[in-house]
Amino acid sequence: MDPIRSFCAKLRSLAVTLDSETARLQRALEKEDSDFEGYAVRILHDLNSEVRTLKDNVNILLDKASLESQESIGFIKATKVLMKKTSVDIIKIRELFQKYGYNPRAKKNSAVEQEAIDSKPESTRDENLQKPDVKDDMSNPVVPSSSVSEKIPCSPQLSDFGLERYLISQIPPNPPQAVNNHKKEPNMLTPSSSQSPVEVLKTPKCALNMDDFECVTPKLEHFGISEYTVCLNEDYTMGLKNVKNKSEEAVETEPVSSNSTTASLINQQLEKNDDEYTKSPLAPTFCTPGLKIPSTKNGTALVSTDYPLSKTNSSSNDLEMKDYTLVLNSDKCFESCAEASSSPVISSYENLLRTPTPPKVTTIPEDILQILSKYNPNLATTPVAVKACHPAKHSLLDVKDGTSEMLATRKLVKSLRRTDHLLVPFSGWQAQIAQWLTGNRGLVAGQGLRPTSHPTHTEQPAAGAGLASGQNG
Amino acid sequence: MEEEVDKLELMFQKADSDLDYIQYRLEYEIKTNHPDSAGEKNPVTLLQELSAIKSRYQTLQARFKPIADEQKEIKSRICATFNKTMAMIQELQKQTDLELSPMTEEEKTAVEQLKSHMSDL
Repeated sequence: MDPIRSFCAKLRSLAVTLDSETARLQRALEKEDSDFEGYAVRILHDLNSEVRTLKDNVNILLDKASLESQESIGFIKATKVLMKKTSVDIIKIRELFQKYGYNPRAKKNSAVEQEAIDSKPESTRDENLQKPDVKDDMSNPVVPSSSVSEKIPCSPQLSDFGLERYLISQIPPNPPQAVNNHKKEPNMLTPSSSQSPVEVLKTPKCALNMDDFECVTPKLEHFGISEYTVCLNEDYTMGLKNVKNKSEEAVETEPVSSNSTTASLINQQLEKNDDEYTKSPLAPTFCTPGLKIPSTKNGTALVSTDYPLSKTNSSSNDLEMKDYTLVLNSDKCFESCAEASSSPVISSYENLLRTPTPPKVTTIPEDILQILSKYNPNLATTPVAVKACHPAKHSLLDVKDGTSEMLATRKLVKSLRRTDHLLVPFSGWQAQIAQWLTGNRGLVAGQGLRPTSHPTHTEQPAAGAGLASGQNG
Repeated sequence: MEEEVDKLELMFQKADSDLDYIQYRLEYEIKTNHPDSAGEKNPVTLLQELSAIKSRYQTLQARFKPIADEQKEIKSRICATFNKTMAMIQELQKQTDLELSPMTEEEKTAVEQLKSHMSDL
């Protein structure tokens, strides 16, 4: 009863208050009551203050929230910067470690990588925990940690790389074997020592299969020996033989009234001819169409050579002409060797390749020669047979006329005159070449070419024709 | 008994309607008689709105509280990790004698900021 009563009483008081207030407000609305004005102002004032406080609270909260957001943004930026730097540093360090064999941690579980992976974290852990000397770690890239295997830093073994299966069982050499090695000769030593370890060691499975490989003796063709080239070898051997003979002859022949220059030239040419056989390869063909090259068959045609006619008595071996056609017809060689005919012609081409020995004769121009000949008629007349002789010896011993040089030049001039008439009329550049050839003789400086128009010798324009003409003459 | 209850109920309803009428009447008068101040909101409504906002803010704060806590924890963790990483790098650098690029200004400030943050936490 009491709670109900109290409740009812409170309810009644509330109702009374409500009623009175309502009446009051209504009266104030109708403007019948005048005691509300202060009251209203007070209420308004309260209202305003309340609003103000609320506003302030809101502002404070807002500021706090913005501050926190700013702080978090700054934090994130700083972390980003630091992260970048640390990543750069880590990459640098990793590269340095990789240089020394550090394998980066892989997430795959392959059998081969597993060992590498195992070693890596171990090694890094070791670095952090034990702080070992880094240099040792570098040199031993896969130093396993204590957890994996107890190993002091040493040279990396095959097992470290997971390649134990390739390990060849090493058996130490026996002491008696070592003693034997000491006793035996050095040349014997190596085969025995090489054999013994071979016997001891396990030969790897991949042995050299020689079954498919037929050890065939190389045929003669492989060496370039065929029926066509057998003769060349004969020439080669002959050339070698002749070189030997020539050297003997050159030493023997006396320097009697022979000019040093021609002798030297002859010697050169002899050697050259022999060397043609013994030396290889052939000189490049100097294709000069129009330049008649003496063929092997007939030795009449002559090219700008200074080969003296007195060469006839020379040995039969080297009279072979040089064929510019690069085809050494051995038959022709023999033919030419057989015929010790007139003016054996040899191109001076090979001669040109070699710098001839400087002639000891001072070149005397022709006009002076003529003048001299007037005063000394002996020089003009008799051409002395030229013999092969040593130029040094000759120069010392030749005292006949007292003018050895003049004699030599005179003789050469005569020989040149004889040969000149056979020269083919040259074209412009050919003339130059011929001039160079003549000039290179080093004998007569001022002598120009005397191209005599020989009816039989006609110019051949084409190169091949020139070669052919050289052959045919 | 029931009659009195009914009477009370009726009286309450009457009072409520009267109050509504007064409010409406006031607003109407303000609108007509004082048009310049009609744009401003009624402080009462303002008050009401403010209270509503307040309540809403309270709920939001309650919801975001765990998030804020998580954020703080993350920050602390990040700081700790960074410190560890920096220490490790310095150690490795010492061991390898590798010349790492020196820290720039901003990096230094970042480090200090992180350290202060760690101290705050």
